[in-house]
Order: sequence, then structure tokens, then C-alpha cells
Amino acid sequence: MALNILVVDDSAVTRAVIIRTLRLSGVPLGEVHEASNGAEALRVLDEHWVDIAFVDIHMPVMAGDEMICQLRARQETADLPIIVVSSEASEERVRFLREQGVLFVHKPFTPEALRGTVLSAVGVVSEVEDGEAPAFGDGASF
Amino acid sequence: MEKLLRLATVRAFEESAFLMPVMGAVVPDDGVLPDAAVRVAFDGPLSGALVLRVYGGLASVLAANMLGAEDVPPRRMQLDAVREMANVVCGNVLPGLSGSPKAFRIGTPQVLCEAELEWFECRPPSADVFVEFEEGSVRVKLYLDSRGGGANGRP
Repeated sequence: MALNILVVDDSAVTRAVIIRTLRLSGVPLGEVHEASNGAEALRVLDEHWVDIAFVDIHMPVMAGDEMICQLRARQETADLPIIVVSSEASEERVRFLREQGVLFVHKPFTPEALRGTVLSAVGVVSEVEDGEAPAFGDGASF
Repeated sequence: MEKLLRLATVRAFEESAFLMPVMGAVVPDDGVLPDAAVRVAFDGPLSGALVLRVYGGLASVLAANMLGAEDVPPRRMQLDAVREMANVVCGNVLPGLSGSPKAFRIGTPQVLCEAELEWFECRPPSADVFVEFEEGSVRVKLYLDSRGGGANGRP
């Protein structure tokens, strides 16, 4: 099953890197949507079904943490799997994100880290073992 | 402080753009114009700005490597890549420097014009690192407000 994804980052290069890394690491992608800030992302989510969202924190117009709060408050997106991809990982912020049920990938990231976190987010595995790379396949359930 | 800044810089370039540092770096004079210069202002347990400059054609290699592109990416994508690297270096170095669990507010990276760059040249940085790659070089200066870096590092 291919995943419809939404990548939210004010950097076009970063959005491209995330999408490219997902493709290269074998994550099956369906529709790929992009947004450059939280407000734009909310509009995309109003119009499209998305299986997982990759969200930066520091963005103009609407930051990632505000966007996540709004998503969690909406019934239709309250359970949307969200992975925050950010360079800043202060304890306070990570704690807040965990309380929102959000997973975290720290920049700079490796393809293995991104893939492992996607697997966890969509429930293929709860945790990726060191050195192992679970496969997406027909048997995987999302 | 400079050790942490160097580690954050090297790691960001290695892992994001597959650029490995080489020995024998020759720091360019302050008067040498970079390919691009970017400022990231921050506030929180520490406040100030980080200024990152790339030299010797590094901006185009950086963007091409990050995008996996064979052709030279357009200038706007090169600047976007430099902005992103400044953001990553800044986000990685601040928690270690502050030693505080509190979150930072990190501003949107801004490309600096020559006059803005000169404004920073007149101020002593709190930390200054230079890293050379085969494909060019990068210089990162960190200005903390307590050292006179300027309110939010704004010229």
C-alpha cells in the first residue's frame, strides 16, 4: 500500500531531500503533497487524504507546533501520524511533541533514521532494531 | 564553544550533503566576498545570531548534493540550501551551548547583502570556525548578545 504524504517545510530543498530520501529508502509513496508553512498545510489537508505528515517546526506564517495543535484539535486529523523533522531538539520541545503523539527525526538525518521512524509512525513495527531494516511489502499492514 | 560549533558544522555538511572536510584550511580575509552569506537570529536560553558564509563555489555543490541533481541547480535553490545548512547548524549547536532544556525560537534564515555582512564584520564573534572541503569552504560565526552581537543579530 502506497502512502499519501504531506511534507511541510519552508525550504524547498529540504522538502525535496525528504521526498527523495523516502523514495530511495523504499518507502512506497502515493500522492506527494508539499506546503511551505503550517497554514498552507492545513489547506492541503482540507482537500486531500494524507496518511502521514512530515513537519518542520520553525516556519514563517504558521510554525509547526501551532499547526500540530490545530491538527490534534480537529476530529478528522486528531490521529494523523506526524513526524517532526527539525534541527532543534531541546528537551522542552521534544517533550511537548511527545505529548502530542508526534515522532521526531533530528536534522541532519540518515535515510535509515527516516525510514525507521516512518515504519513506527504507520504501525508496521513499534520500534526499529539496531541494524535492521524492516521491509514495506504486501504483508505490511498500515 | 568553537569545538561544538565546528562539530555541528562538519556533521551538518557531511550528513546533509556528503561533503567531507579536508586538512590545510586557509581562512579567507574578511574582505573576500562569499558565494552567499546567511544569518539566523535566535532567542531563548541564549540570544543572538549565527552567520554562515560559503566560498569557492560551495553553494552550487551543496545544493546539487542535497537534491541529488547532476546539473547545477538554479541560484534560488543554492541560496535555499545555504539557508537550510545555517538552520541545521544553528539548531544543533544551541542546546549544547546553553545547557538548558528550554526551547529556542529560531528565526527564518535570511540571505545577507554586502552591507549587512560588513555590519557583522565590525563585531567580535563569540565563536568563529572555518571548514574547508575539496569543493569549497564554509565559515560560521556565532554572535551572542552578551558579547555585543546585536539585538537578535539584526544589522
